[in-house]
Amino acid sequence: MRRRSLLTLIACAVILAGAIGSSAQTKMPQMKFRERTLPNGMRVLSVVDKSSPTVAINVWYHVGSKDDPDQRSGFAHLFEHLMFKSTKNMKAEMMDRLTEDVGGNNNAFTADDVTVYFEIVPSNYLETLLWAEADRLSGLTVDEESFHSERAVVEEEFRQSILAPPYGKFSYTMQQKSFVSHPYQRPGIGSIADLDAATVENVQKFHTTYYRPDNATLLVVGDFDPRQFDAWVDKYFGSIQKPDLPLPRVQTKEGERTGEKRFTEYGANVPLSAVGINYLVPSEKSEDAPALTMADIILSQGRSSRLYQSLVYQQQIAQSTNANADLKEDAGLFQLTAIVAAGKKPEDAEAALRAEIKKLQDTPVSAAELEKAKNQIITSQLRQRETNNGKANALGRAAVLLGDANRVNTALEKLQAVTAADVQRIANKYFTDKNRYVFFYLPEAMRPASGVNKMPQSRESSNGAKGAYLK
Amino acid sequence: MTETEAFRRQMPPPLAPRPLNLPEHLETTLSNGLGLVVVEDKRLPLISFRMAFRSGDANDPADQPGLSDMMSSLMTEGTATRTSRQIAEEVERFGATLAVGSSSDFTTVAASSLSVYADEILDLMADVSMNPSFPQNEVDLARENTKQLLIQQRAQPTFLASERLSQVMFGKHPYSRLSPTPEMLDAMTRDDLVRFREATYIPNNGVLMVVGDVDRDAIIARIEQLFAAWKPGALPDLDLPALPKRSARSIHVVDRPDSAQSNIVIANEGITRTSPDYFPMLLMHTILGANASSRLFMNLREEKGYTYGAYSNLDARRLAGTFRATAEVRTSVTGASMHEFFYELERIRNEAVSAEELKNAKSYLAGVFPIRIETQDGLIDQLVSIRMYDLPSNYLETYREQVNAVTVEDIQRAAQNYVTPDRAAIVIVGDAVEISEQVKPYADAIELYDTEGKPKK
Repeated sequence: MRRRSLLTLIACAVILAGAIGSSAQTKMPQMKFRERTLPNGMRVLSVVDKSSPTVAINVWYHVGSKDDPDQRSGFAHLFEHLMFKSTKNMKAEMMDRLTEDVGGNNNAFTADDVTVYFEIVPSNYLETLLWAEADRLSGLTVDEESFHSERAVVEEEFRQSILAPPYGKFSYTMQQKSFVSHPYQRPGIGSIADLDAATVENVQKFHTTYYRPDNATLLVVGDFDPRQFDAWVDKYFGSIQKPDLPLPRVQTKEGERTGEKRFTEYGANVPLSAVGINYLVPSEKSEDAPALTMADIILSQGRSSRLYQSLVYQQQIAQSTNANADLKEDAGLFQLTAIVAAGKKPEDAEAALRAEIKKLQDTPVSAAELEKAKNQIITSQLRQRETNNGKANALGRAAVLLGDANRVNTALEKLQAVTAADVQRIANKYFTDKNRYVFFYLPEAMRPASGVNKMPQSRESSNGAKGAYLK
Repeated sequence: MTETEAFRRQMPPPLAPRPLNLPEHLETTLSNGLGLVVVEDKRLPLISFRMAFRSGDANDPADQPGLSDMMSSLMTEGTATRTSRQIAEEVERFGATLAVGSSSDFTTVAASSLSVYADEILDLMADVSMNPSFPQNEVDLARENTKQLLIQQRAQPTFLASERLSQVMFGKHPYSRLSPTPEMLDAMTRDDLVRFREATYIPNNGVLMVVGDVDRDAIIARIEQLFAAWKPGALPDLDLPALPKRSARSIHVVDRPDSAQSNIVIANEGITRTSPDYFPMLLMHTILGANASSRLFMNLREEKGYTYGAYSNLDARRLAGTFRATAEVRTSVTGASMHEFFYELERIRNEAVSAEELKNAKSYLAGVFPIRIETQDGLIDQLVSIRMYDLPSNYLETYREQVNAVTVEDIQRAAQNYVTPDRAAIVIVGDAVEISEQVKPYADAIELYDTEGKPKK
């Protein structure tokens, strides 16, 4: 995220958390969108909604942190920042002027699979923003000075989001350790060392490689005239050439896990121990994705959820708990985490989390629990669609990550169709002993006496060196 | 693309602006004094309720900070007819939310659901508002959980900065107290919670707001039926010591060894929410530090690269307020960042802002207004502010006029009154050993604290 939010595993998962549901009595309103593809390959999706004189513009580029160049972790995100610097016809920070000065706002975020730029403005400024988005797709003119200053900003974002908060390093390290071969192992925020190694040449190359019309999807939702909009799109985007170069895609597959792995890390200023367990799960396009999402909700959404009731309320082992079906394009993680209550042992929190997994495997969830989860998901989907930008985001996710814009409407039926047997089946299929990763994050004071390093780092020779810059 | 595309060189102009139709709201008062505001919004099958009471953390007795907070969080943990678990189960079965929260000046009970469940969620909201039972086991659990939260808070630099700043700026005023100590929590009894609720949760001290896909007359009838038996009472009053008078600049460092960043806050006494200076201050704040195109952000982030974000903060509450400038910067540029902060504070005070800056700030505030009220919760936030701070009832309708009436002179007058660098309180959370030399030029003496909030030598 360029401005105010942290680019963490969890934050991105929430933004892109998908899935649509419907309750017995409420029909999810269908989103009526128009779709066209320009001759240069750019996809354009739009929804007219005149309830407020505003419009949301999104440009989704199908490139994310997993596409960071070798030895340049964090680069896709650094690049996202540089998209706010100068272009052929705009000086640096012009996007802020074009939005804030007219009564709107803008931002961007980089996730594992996509980079998304968005603006929300009074609707009479739509043409101006289309002109501006087209200009930064056409080319950047980043100079050394603004590159160095923006890189320093990203390094502060790293310090503020990873080093300063007590659990910043928890999710950061967990993601690094959870993937063995897929580039998802590289945290999107990167590392200071890799950021320092980046150059202006890397920036130009990255733009040429990935920022092209056939890798971009424009989404516009709000108050506009469709005919006028189409003409503007043709004028500003239609004449941008598609380069005659192949569009690289990550080919690496994350292999199946073959045995439980465990890792312990210590941190300064960690008030209470934290425990994380995760399982490698398939892509969000998988047929099992809806059932994984349901399992997440049943375990963790609200105070009546299983994890809260068991670990926080009854056993009082944990101060807080969470589950997250962090589904991505190529592979995902199903994670359970707990902040361990003072005076309790991380081992006991781990056992309690695993007991909840076993329950999901042994006994079908009740009809009431499943109905509750479906109601929870449809309500949150509707809340997202209160805003023009929320609608654009839902549509972008369907079009770019699920590969079909119409899934903004049909994904709902898939969730609606999940049964108790489905949830039990995926729990047995994926939440196995050999597919488990266990991570303890403990206060520095709990580190064993020096001399012997008891941390089982050696087991992960492939990633062992990655944590070095964190010290 | 070819060079013949001249249109790319020239930014296209906007079309004519389109009118904003503000949602119509109906206001009334029940016979027991409970205010009621209803807005029909049929865009989506959703409904949102919020009940707000003019009593918050500021009403905590001096020796019991956290009482309002604890009372609020326990209201959903049991009523005369429902257990904690039953409440959670019922709310979530409908895919709904129900939460009670306390802020400085007011407390809110917020509920939202699919509109088909409007009656059910309203019923639950009425039950937790009027009949909370504060079961002893829930009180004990909340006490333990709050103690653990306190431990976590002390690891967060932002909390440590707020805690120190509140004490420096507000002295003995209730706004000075951010959280209780574990000992205070141990001393807090169930009776304290019950008494506090009885004194503050009375219908004539509150307003219920409803926004959503609902029939107005039907929901009003239902609300009258549900809340009619609720008896009014005497309004709570507050004991309000004056704020400390500041006559010189001071620096207060909270030592957090090994911090990679310094969390800097520079504060002056500000205004109350109903001050006639509110709109000039709002424009001044927008130009100085509210956004990514404001001066602080442009200087400390875009030009210098010292921070991920530098902002000002207009914190105007019912009884008092502060005006602050803040950033989290890497340790080695703590002193350099202070230099830039003071440069910008002096500049906004001593030089008139440009007509261009004022025009842009006005467009920003007028333009984001419809975006803010795009959601049901966004609209309710505005309605809560109007009722809890006693703003004029036509506040939404006149907001843009008020913004547009502010002049360059108004802004400079506001800056000279409320941005006073030579009387500022500076709070820094960071590694004291690394930063002490860097901050020396900014004050004669440095007060040092540890992360427990205790003075340190």
